[in-house]
Amino acid sequence: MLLYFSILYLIIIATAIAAIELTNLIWVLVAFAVLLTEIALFYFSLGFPLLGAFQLAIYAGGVAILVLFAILTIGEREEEKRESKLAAGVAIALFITGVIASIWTGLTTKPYLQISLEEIGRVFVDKYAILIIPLAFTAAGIVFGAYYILSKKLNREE
Amino acid sequence: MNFQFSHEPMFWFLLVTFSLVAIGIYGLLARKSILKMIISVEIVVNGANVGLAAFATQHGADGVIIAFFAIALAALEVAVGLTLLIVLARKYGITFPEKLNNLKW
Amino acid sequence: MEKLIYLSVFLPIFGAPLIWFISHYTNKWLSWYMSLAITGFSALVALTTLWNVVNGHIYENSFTWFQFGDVKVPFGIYVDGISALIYAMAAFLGFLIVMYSRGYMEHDESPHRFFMKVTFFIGSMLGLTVSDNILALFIFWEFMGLASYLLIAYWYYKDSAADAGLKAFLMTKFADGFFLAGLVLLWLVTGTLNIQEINHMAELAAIPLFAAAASALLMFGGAVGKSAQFPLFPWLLDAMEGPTPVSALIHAATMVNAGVFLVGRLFPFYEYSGILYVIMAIGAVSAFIAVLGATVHREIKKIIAFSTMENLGLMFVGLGAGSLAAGLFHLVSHATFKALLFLAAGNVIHFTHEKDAFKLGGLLKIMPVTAALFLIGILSLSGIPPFSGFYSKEWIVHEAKMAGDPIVFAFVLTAAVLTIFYGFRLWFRIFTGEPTEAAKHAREAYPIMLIPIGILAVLTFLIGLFHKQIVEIIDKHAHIPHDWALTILVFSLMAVAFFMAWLLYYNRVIDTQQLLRDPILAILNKTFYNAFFVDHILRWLSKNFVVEFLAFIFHWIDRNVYDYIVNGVAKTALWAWEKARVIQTGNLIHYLTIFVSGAIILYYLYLVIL
Repeated sequence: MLLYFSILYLIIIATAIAAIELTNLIWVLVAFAVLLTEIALFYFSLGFPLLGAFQLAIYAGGVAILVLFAILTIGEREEEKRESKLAAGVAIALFITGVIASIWTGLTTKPYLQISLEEIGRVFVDKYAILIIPLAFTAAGIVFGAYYILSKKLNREE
Repeated sequence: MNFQFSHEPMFWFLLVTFSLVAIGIYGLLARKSILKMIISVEIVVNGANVGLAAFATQHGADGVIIAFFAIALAALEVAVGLTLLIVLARKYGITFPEKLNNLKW
Repeated sequence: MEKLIYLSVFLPIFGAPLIWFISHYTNKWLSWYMSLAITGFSALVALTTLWNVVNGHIYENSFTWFQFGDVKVPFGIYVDGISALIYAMAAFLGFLIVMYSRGYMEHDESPHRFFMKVTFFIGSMLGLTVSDNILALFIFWEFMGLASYLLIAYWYYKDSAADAGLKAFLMTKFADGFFLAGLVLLWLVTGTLNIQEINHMAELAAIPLFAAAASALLMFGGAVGKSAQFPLFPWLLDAMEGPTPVSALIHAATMVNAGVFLVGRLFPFYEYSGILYVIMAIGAVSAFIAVLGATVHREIKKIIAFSTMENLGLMFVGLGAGSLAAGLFHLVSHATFKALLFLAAGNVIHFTHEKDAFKLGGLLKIMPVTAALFLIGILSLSGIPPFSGFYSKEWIVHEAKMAGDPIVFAFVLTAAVLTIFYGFRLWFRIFTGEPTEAAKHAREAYPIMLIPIGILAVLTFLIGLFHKQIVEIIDKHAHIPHDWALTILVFSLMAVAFFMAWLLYYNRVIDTQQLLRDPILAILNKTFYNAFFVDHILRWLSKNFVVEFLAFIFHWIDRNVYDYIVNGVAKTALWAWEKARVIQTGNLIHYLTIFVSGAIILYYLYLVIL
């Protein structure tokens, strides 16, 4: 399993760095899509097939295609890089902090729970069903806001 | 071969989480392009989701459900971000975040 | 019955705004009917209460108003003989005065405003008379101060009325400061504010004598302001700027009686504290100043106001000489005939539009009923039997004689004897002689104005008739002494005074203006007219001490200390802004960097602290 995990981990890190570092936006999008798919693989391996399916459908499908459309709209451009030692320092500090925190808290691993789809559905209905209502309104607000901004812009251009 | 994780230490998944969050934050801070920044935010959110899913195996289904919510909201966020990109990129170019400095004194 | 007593107090107080509100949007004179109904109800309850108290009931009810920590603030009623008598008297006189006001205020623009204030005033006085603890009494006391300010300044568009209201308010508030201090001191020493408990402790000598004397003296300071005694009386004379029914209310039913009532209600405590002599001395001085002022003034209402001050002084002499019953019996009897006098004077002023008694004359033929009722008031005021004034006043003169202080006795005797002089001076000037220009246009008053005065005239006769029973209500062991030698002395002196008044103001053998050519008489006249210049002295003190000295210091502190602090804060803020604005770069990336760094630092802080 260590081998399997290591391969996955390396691919994830590599594609994440590629998504940040590459200058050609099409290749950035390709790296990003691979990253999202690998994470979906993680979910399947952890025993959450529904979450993995969501990840594939919404992220690897929807978001990647949205970004693709955006790139096509604004044109595929090469962007100049900016080296920032401060940003690198902050990122490394964050990583080290995370590792220290993981160790410091004395994390112990119990045998994994086998969480079935029924279990997830039950907990969802018991605890989180009410959250769907504000979430739905938030989603509606966001979508409407995006549409409003776009349509205003288009009107002004006419 | 069985690719199902069953007793691997939590530290592995936290390593994934913090690696992705660190890379995402670096991208957010070091890149001028709004598209790269949106992608960086998505990387951060995905890192967090991996951590949530991993902890769900220890503490019950809540982590997975929160991950569902996070995915839904992240998708919406991308929608708005890309809208802003399309609207503002014509005027300022794709590197507009550093040109929007009218919050300055 | 306790509930009805509560209702009789709070219905006028809380009903007053309602009267204004309803009448303002319907018919303004509706307020009169509402006020009459409310005060009539209160009077009915009060008279029933008095009847039951006479038959041996005592009404007692108390509850905790509010509480913080261990300190409980009580509120309640305790109606015994003293309380019930003043309660019934205030309610009944208030009712009659409200009835009378229909005629007097007939040309007024905003009668609903008037009746709102009057109803509130009466309610406050009723609350004061039945309260069972000094704090509640003090609250109603302050309500009454507010109501008197509003009513004296009723014609607010007249500068003199507004100033008079302000003066009354400031002087009584100044005195109330002492009252509050005394109240707090008493509470700190005894731990209770219940009147009965304090009286009981005083009878057992359970209060430290020095603290008792200090707090009694401070509370008497409040009573001096409220009851217009020396040296805080000038507001009472200026208060004549208000409408005449208000003057009747202030002088007879409510306001000025509160001070006497306070001392009477706490009488065992005052007896124990040993300051009765101070009360007697101040009462005697006030009576002396007032009676001399009344003999030289020209305005009808001011003469009657001085007469009120004199009678209040006499009440304090009666209390100070150690006789509770003498003081409070005179309070009741004075309230009746003083309301009668003020309302009768109101008739004269309302139908002649003239306040100066020396510009009137010959009204006897034009207003015969008013003249007769006015005469009854004067007779009662002067102390002629069978009216009530005779019994109460003779008693007080007797008590002053028994107190054994010749100066006090001389002052009281002067006051008692000269009363008939200024009383008949007033009556002769208004009602006899040739009718003047102002008097010719007058007519007899309406029945609605004459009926209350008639009832008061009957009442002053009845109080004289039933004086023994009334004294018994106040104090079961007291009885009116019969000192024939003193009575004969007083009556012979009064006969001389009456004869002089008859000569000077009925026959008019000498023009009184000629007497003023004599320099000594002129100076005396001026001194008496200005009430020994107490008002001027108070003005001088307040100008030089308060305005020139204290205000100067406060002004300096304000400019140099407070302004410095305030400006310093502003300058510091500006300086900080100048220095701190540099970090507001407006660049999103900088903010994000700082945000993430801050999150990391917070985590380490968390690790270090825990």
